Amino acid sequence: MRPKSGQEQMEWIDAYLRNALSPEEREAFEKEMNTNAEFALEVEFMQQADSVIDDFLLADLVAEIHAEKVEEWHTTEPRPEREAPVIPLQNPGRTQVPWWKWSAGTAAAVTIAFTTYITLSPIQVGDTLNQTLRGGEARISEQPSRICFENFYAGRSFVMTQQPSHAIPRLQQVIDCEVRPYFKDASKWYLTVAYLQDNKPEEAEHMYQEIMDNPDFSYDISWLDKQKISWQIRIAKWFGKNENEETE
Amino acid sequence: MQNFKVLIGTQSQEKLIARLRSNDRRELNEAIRDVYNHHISPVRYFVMQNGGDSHDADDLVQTTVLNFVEAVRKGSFQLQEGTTIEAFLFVLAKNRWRNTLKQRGLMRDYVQEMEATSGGQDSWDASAQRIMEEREEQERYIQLFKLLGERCQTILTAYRRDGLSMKEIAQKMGFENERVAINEKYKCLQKLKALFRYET
Repeated sequence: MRPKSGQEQMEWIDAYLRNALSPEEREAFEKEMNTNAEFALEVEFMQQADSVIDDFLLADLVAEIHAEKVEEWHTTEPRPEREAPVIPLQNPGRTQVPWWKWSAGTAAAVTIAFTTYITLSPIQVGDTLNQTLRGGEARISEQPSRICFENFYAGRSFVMTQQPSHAIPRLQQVIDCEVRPYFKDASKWYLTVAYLQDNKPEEAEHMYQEIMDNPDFSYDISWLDKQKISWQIRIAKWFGKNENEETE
Repeated sequence: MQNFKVLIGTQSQEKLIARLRSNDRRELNEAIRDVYNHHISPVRYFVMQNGGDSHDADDLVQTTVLNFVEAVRKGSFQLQEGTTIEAFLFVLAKNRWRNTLKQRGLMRDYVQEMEATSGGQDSWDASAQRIMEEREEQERYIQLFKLLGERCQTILTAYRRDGLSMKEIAQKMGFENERVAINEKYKCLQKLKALFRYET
C-alpha cells in the first residue's frame, strides 16, 4: 500500500529503485505506478535524480583523474632548456696551442658531436602532412577511407608519443589500405621509426631499405633524418647482437 | 618483409568497455585511467597541431573522455568489428574541436579538408553529435544539482558513491540518528525537484 507521507513515499520509491522490495511489495508498487499518474511522475523524478547524481559523480571522477594526468603530462613534456652560462674564450694566462692541434682537435670534436647527435637525437615525425594537405599542387584528389585516415593519424601520434606497440598495427593497416601512395609512404617512414622505438632494428632496417629502393617514394625525408635512422639502426643491431652473445 | 602484424586487440577493447560499464567505482577508476594512458594521446596531438595550445588540448581531452565514458555507460557507444576506441575518441574530439574553432571564428584548413574529404557526416559523426547534445543536456542538470550546495550534495551522493546506508550517512554528517538523515535527504530531493521544475 502506498505510504501517505511524502517522506515515506520517497523511501518506498528508493527501495524499489534499489531492488530492495519483496516480490509482493514490488507488485503492489508497480500496480500503484501504473494506475496513479502523479505517483508515476514521482518515480520518474527519483530515477532522473539518480541519473543526474551518477553523471555528477562520473564528471567528478574524470575531473580528478584528469587533474592528475595533466600534472603528469606537464611535468614529463620537454621544457625549454636553461640558457647555458657564457664562458669567455680568452682565459687570462692560457698557453698557446699550435694550429694543427687545434684543427685535429676541432675535427675530432665535430665528429664526436655529430655522431652523438645522430645517435641520440629524435627523428622528425613532423607536420609535413598537414602542409601537403594544404598545399596547392599537392592537394589530394583521392582520399583514404575514414578508418585508414584515423589509423594514420593515431599511428603517427603514437610514434610521436613513443608508444610504438600502439603505432605499429595502425600504420601497417594504412599500408594495406587503398590510399594515395603519399599516405603509404609516410606510414612506411613512421613504421621505420616505430620499429626502432620498439627495439626491432631488423624490421626497421627492412622497411628503411624498402624506402631507399623505391625511386618513386613520395614522402620527403631530410638527409639528416636518413643519416640518423641509418646510424641508429646500426647501433641498435650492434647492441642487440652483443646482448645475444652475452646471453649465449 | 617479415609479416609483423599485430591485431589491434579487440578482446582487450571489449574488456575495457566492460570495465567502463562497471558499477564498482574502483574498477571504473582504473578503466578511465587506462583510457588516459593508452587511448587518448592522439587527441592531444590533434589539437596541438590544429590551432590549439596545450590548455585547449587538455580541455578537449577531459570533455572527450567524459563524453566517451558516459556514452559507454548509457549504451550509446557499441564496439563494432573493425572499429577501435581511439578512432571513436578521435571522432568525438574532432567534432568538438570543429565546434570550438567555429565559435572562435576560425576554421583551420585541416578541419575543412577533413570535412570535404570524409564525404559529409557518417554514422560516427552523427553519433558523436548526438552524444555531445546529450552531454549538454546532462550538464544543465548537473549545474542544477550543484546549486543544492555541498551539504545536500554529500547527503545525496553518499549512497551512490560510497554505498553508505542512511545510518552511516547520519554518522558521517553528525546527525542525531538515521531518521534525521532521511528527513534531510527528503528536503534535499524536494529542493532538487523544485530546481528541475523551474528549469523545464
